[in-house]
Amino acid sequence: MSCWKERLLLQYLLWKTCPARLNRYLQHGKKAGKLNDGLEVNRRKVRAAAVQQKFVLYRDPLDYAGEMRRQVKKAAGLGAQLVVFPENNGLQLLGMLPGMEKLSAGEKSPKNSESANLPVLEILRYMGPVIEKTVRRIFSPLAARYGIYIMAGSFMHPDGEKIVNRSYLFAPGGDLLGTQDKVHLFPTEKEWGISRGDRFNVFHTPLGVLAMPICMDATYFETFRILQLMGAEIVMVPIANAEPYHFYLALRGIWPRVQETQVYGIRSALVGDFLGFTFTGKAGIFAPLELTPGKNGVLAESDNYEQDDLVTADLDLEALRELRAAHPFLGDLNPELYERYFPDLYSRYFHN
Amino acid sequence: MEVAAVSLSEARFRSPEEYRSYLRQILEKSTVKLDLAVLPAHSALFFAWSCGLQGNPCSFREATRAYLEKHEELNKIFIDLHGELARQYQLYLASGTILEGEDGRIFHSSILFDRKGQVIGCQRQTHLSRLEKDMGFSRGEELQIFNTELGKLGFVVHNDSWYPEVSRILALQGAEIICHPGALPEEHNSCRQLAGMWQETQQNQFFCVESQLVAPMAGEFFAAISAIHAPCEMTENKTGFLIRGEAGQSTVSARLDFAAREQVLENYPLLSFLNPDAYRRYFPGIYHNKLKQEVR
Repeated sequence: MSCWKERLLLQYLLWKTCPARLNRYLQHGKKAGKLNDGLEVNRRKVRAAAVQQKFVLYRDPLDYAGEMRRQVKKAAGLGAQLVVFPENNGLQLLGMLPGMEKLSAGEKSPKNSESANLPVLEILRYMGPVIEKTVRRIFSPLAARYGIYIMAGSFMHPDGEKIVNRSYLFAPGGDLLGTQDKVHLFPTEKEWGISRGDRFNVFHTPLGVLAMPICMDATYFETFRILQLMGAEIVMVPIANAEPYHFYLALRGIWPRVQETQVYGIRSALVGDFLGFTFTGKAGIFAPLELTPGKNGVLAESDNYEQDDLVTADLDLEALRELRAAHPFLGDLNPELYERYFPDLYSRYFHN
Repeated sequence: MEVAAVSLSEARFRSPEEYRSYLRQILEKSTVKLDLAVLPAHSALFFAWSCGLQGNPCSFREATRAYLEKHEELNKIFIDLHGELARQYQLYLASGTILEGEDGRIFHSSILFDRKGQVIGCQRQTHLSRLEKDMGFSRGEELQIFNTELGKLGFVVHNDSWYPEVSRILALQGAEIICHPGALPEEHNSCRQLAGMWQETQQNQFFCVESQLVAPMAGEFFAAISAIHAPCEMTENKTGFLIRGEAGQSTVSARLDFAAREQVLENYPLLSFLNPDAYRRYFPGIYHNKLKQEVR
């Protein structure tokens, strides 16, 4: 495509996602008012919701906005004070690109297919600014309207020369509280040329101290240990897992991390098909074994791994604090040991 | 390579001789020649308690205290006996755990014997349980890898299984097989175990021989499942278990397929996606900062 056509298309896409258009749409209909007006917080009972989102390529951003509103409204209606969307939530907006829908529908496998040759990085770089603006323009008013915290999921975002996978957290007033770049990449992301982040963030809110690493980050204990030591109490992990669902394979992420570090964990999942990838996963809310009725570490979990769903659970942050202070096995970190090994081992491992 | 985890369930013995006979029976029952056997945590304590070598303590805490009073003498009996068994059956033997002292400090440790019955290493537990802290135990200060003909062996001793730092340090040092002597009171369920060495195996992609004590001792009842773990991708139905014992089973054994593990590492080299640049910003200072805050 020639340069002027690219610019013209970009202008068109920015018009389609302009604030006035999105706002008009999001405010349409009977105004519900803030369902959780004032956001009263009781640390003994923080209600969280995790979204399981079936992938749809949206040609019109208004339809995407409508779907996000539907999920937020549902969560808020169930009393949720925090709602968590999945990884790569923004990929659904690639449907705005002409031809993307057809390309995705035709693919059966990411290997040896037309999509395998797609200049993914270039597409993400081109669409990134549109998607980023759209995300802010949708989730900020939704957080404000429903008076709840929204972790909007993650989006591929151009940051200078790099493209990062970034999650976004909005406060009940609609402000963007902060972002988190994915620190551990999935092999496919590395192949695509996505860059990884190199810091972890926590967010002090009336609900508790929140963090939001992304998918693969939960494969590594380092992520949760650092966040725990930074004070995290609730760790949200948006996922988009491109493999067939399997109980034991799915158990290798957030669940053991929650047990190791004694935090609450919220997993939101993108499911469905895109460019030959099939995403599976169950939205769930997890806690240390001792804080779950079945002593299984699960407060709530979707009963399917391939359809839309939303699960909620109440988190007791005081019980978490009490458990941490009295746990029979945990709580005896050995910094001298770690100091002796980690700096050298991490360096040596990557030089050999 | 053939490996086994021995739980000491159904071990009814009242003397060192009877204990020796029991272990001989267990090792001889194996239909294959074992290269490595791992016994559970508290094995020396259980041995001394069952043989009446430390009086008649009425609680686990008292039994521990009584053992510590005679630990040098009891450890010598225990070590000699297991060295002899390792030599007789020509296998590597991780004999569970002993309580040992040095310069007035007490450690919870595992001993590894080679096929000649020689002690080739001792690994001290590096993280204490609340009870051990209360009783004045000390933490080990290093994590060793034992280079053997079987491969690179490491220990995750008892309570260390709940600290992912231990398994990661061993994995980054090249550990291929982890011996885990464990002992969990019966109130814990299978989820507790999944949160231990099963998941450590998955995030570090080594083999793990997990031996869990199944026995009553001084008012405590230890009951968990022994198992042999491997990365999910190389196990039947992707469970991550090469074998998982049943309640009360005395021994589980399996063959470790190193070629299959190599294939997993080649296809999905998890550790190569670690991000040291990110960790360096936080480790190890963040641990110290946290502890300082707790002290304040």
